[in-house]
Amino acid sequence: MKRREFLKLAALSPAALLAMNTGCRSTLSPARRVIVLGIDGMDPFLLNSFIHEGVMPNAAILMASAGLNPLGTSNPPQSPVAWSNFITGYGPDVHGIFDFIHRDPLSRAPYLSTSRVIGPDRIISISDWRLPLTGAKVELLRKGEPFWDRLTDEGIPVSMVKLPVDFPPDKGKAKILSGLGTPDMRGSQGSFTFFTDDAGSITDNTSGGIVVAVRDYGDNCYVCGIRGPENSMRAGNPAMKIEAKVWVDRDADALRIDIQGESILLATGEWSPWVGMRFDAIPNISSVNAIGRFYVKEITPRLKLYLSPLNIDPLNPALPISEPSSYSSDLARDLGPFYTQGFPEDTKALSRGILSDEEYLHQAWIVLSERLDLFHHELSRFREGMLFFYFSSLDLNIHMFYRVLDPGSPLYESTDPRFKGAVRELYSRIDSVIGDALAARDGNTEVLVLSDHGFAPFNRSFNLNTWLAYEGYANITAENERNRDMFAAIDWASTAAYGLGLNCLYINRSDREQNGAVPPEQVRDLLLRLKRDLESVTDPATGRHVISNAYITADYYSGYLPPFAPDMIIGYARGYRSSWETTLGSYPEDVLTDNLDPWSGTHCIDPGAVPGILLSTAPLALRDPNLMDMGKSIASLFGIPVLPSGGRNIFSGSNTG
Amino acid sequence: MTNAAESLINVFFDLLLLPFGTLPPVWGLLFISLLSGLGMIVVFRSVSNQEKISRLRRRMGGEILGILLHLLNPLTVVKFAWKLIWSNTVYLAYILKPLLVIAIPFMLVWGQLDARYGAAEMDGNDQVTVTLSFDDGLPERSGLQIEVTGLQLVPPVMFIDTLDEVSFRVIPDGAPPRYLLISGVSIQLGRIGRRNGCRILRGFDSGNSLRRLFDPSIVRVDKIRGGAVSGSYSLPDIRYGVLGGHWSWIAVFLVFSSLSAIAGAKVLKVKI
Repeated sequence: MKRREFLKLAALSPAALLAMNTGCRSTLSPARRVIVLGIDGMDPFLLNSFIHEGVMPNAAILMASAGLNPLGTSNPPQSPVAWSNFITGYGPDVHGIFDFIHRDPLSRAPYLSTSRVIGPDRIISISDWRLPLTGAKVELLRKGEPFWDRLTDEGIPVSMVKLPVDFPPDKGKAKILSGLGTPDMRGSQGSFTFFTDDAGSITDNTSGGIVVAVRDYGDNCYVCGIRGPENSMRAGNPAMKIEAKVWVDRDADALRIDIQGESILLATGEWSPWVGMRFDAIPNISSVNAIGRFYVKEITPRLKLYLSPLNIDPLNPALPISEPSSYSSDLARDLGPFYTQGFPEDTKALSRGILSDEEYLHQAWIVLSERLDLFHHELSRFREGMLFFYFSSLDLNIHMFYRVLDPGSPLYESTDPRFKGAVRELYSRIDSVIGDALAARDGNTEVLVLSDHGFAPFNRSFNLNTWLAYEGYANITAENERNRDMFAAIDWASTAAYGLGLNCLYINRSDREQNGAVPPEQVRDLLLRLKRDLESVTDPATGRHVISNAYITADYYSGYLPPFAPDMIIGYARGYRSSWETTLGSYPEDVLTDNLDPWSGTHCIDPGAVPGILLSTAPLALRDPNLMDMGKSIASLFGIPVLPSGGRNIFSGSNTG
Repeated sequence: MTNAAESLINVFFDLLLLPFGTLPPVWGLLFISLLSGLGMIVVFRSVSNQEKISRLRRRMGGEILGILLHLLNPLTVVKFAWKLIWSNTVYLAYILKPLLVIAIPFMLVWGQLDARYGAAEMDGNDQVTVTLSFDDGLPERSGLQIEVTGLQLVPPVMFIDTLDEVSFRVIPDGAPPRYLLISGVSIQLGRIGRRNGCRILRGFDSGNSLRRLFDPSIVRVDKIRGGAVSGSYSLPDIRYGVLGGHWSWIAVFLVFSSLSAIAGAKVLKVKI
C-alpha cells in the first residue's frame, strides 16, 4: 500500500466507524449519563396528590416531561422480588426470589431468600475452639444476569449505590454498595438491644430485638453486656459479647457510656453518633468490627437505653458489602460511618413499643439525612455512565405511618396529630433529591425516577393458616401450641396446605415435603379448589372480599419453578394482608383481626393494586412500562449494540431494542 | 527537670517540622520517618561492633550453606541447625546494646509522631467528651466553673461521684487554638497551632510525671482548686493517602523508617 493510500484510509476509518455506530443506534441519541433514582415504595396515587398540592415541584417537572406512569410491579409485590425483576429483567422463575422468606421444602424450615452463609469446608477442633482451614463465605441467592453487565462490558461506568437484593454484591466491573437484604451483625434484618431496669419493660420476646435487664448496685453504674455476632470459632457458636459501663448522673439527667476506651456523654432524648465496637472471636488475633447508635430514652426513674441494631462497619466490613471491597471504606472515610443494614429504620423498635412515634421518626430522619449525604457525595463525582441510587425511607416510613393517611386504620384516631404530616414531609424531601438530580443534568443526561411498588392500607390481618385449618386444609392436633411458630400445632400427615412468608402458600406434597400428605396427582385439583375458596373469603366485619386473586404459581410463571417456589401466591385485596403470625407458621384463634401494629401500610397484596411509578426525562414509547423493562430500557439510552435480553425497551417500544 | 526536657523535645520537633508546616501533613511524617531510619542506622553503626557482626554473619551464612549441602545427612543438618540457633542468640546479644541505646530516642520519636499525626483535629459538629479526674474528691456542682474559647460547651455537665470524675462535651467553634477554662485554670485542647505537624492535644495532667515526656499529646496544667486534676478526650484517628492506600501514621513510620534504614545500611556499608 502506498503512503498516500494509507493516509486516505486512516482518515476515512474513524468516519466509517462513526457512521456504522450511528446505524446501530436507536432513534434516541445516546446519553452519556443516566441517573436512576430507585425510590422504594413511591406510590402513584400519593405522588400524584402531592404533586397537585404543590409539595413536589421537581416531580411535577418530570411529570410534564413524560407523564406519571404506573410501573408494573412483581408478583408478589415484595421489594426483594420486585428489585430482582428490575435487576435481571425477568420474573422469579428466572431470578429465584419469590418472597422475603423461602423454606426448605423437606423440613419446611424458613430462611432468608436473598443470601446465605456457607460455613468453612474444613475445621480443626481444639478443645472448644473451632479453627477454620478454609474461609466461610456469603452467597447471593438471586440468579440471573444483572442488566448493567452489558453496560460495563461496553466500558460504560456503572455505580449502584445501596442496591437492593445484591448482598453480597455481584463481582464484576460495576461499583456496588449493597442495600436492602444486607443483614446486621447478628445476621438478622435488624435486631436492637434495649437495656433497662424497668421491670415492666423486661420481656423474653425476641422479635426484632432483645431487652436486657440491668441493675444499678448503688454506684450509679450499669454494666451493659452487648451481644454481638455468633462466634463460629467456638463450639456451639456462642454470641460474642462486649461490655459497656453506663454511668448515670440523675441530677444532670445525663449518662456516660464507657465502651472499649471511648466515652460518650448523652442527655435524655439524645442519639449518640456512631460508636465503633470490636468483638473478639479469638482475643488479640481475630475480631470483627461493628457500629451502633445509642439512644437515651429515660434515666430517671428507670434507665431505658436503646442500642440500634449493630451495623456492619463500612470502614472495616466484616462481610462483603461493596464491590470493589474498598468502596465502602472509601465512602466511610469521606463521609463518616453510615447505616449499612438493608432496613436501616428501626421499625421493629416502634412496633414493639420500645421507641415512640416521635423517637422513631427522629431516627428515620437521621437515616434519610445520612442517605442524602451519600447521594450528594456520589452525585457530585458522577461524570459518566449510570448512577443508580436507592432510597428506603419512603417504604419503611409509610409502612409505619400509613395510619395517618387512612381514616379506616384502626390506629388513625389514636395517632398523635403532630405526625399527620410525616408522609408529606418525606415526599417533599425525596422531591428535593429529584431536584438535585435534575440540577445535575447537562444536555446529555437522562434522569429516571422509579419505584418498585406502591402502597395500600393494612387494616385487617388475615390468618391464612388459621383459615386453612378451619376449612379443613390443615389439621390442628395440639390446641395449646396454636400460637407457637413453625407449625407446632398441626399434624402433617393430615394437613394439605400451609402458609409461610407474606404471600406464599405451599401444598404439603408427599413427593416433596417430609410427611407430606398430598400425592402429586391430587395437587392440581387441590390448588383449583383452594383458589376458588380463597377468592371467595369475605370479611364479616366489612362484607368485602379479602383476597383479589389467588395465583397458581405454575400457571402464572411459565419458566422452571424450583422446589422452594410457592405453589400459590396470594394477592390480597386493598386493606388486607397476611398476619405476622401466618408468616412464621402459627395458628391464632381468629381468621381476621384488626391490625393494631404501627406497621399499618403494606404492598404485599395483589400486584394490580400497588403499581410503582416511573418518571423520566426521556419520552416513553410504551404506556404500560414494567419493572422488568427497565434494564433493557436504561441500557438502550447508551446506544450499546447488545441490550440485556429481559424485558422491553420502553423508549423505542420494541423487544429487541 | 522533666518539664524542661519535655519543652526542649517539643521545641526540637517543632523546629524540625517547621519547613513542612504548610505542606500536607504526610510530608512531615515521611520526613521524620526517613530521618529516624537513617538516624537509627547511624547510631547502630557507632554503637555496635561491626567487625564482630560481620564475622558472625559470615559464619551464619556458612551454617546455612552447611544445612543445604547436607540435606541427606540428618545428623549433620541437626548439628548445623543447632549452631545456627546459637549464632542467632549471639547475634541478639550483639545488637542488644545498640537497641538499648536506640530505645529511648525511638520512644520519644514515637510519642512525638503520635501526638502530631495520630489524631485528626476536631471537625464540624463532632462532639468531644472531656473527662476531668479529681484526686481529692469532686467539687460542688456550683463550685466548678467551666468556660471555653474556640469551643462550644454542650450541656449538661455530668458529675460521677463514684469515679471522682466530671464529664462534659465540647464542639469546635472557629479555628484553633481552643481552650477550656476550668475554675480559672487554662487548658489547651486539640491542635496547638495552625501549621501542619504541630501537636494535637488529647489530655492534660497537673502532676509531675515522666508520662508527658513520652506522650506529648498530654499538656501540663496547673492544679485546680480542690486538688490535682487530669483529663482526656478522644479525637478521631486519621489516615494518610500513601501509594494509593490509606495508612495509619504507624504504618507510614514503620515502613518508611525501615526502608530508609535498609538504604542507609547499604550506602554506609553497615552490617545489620
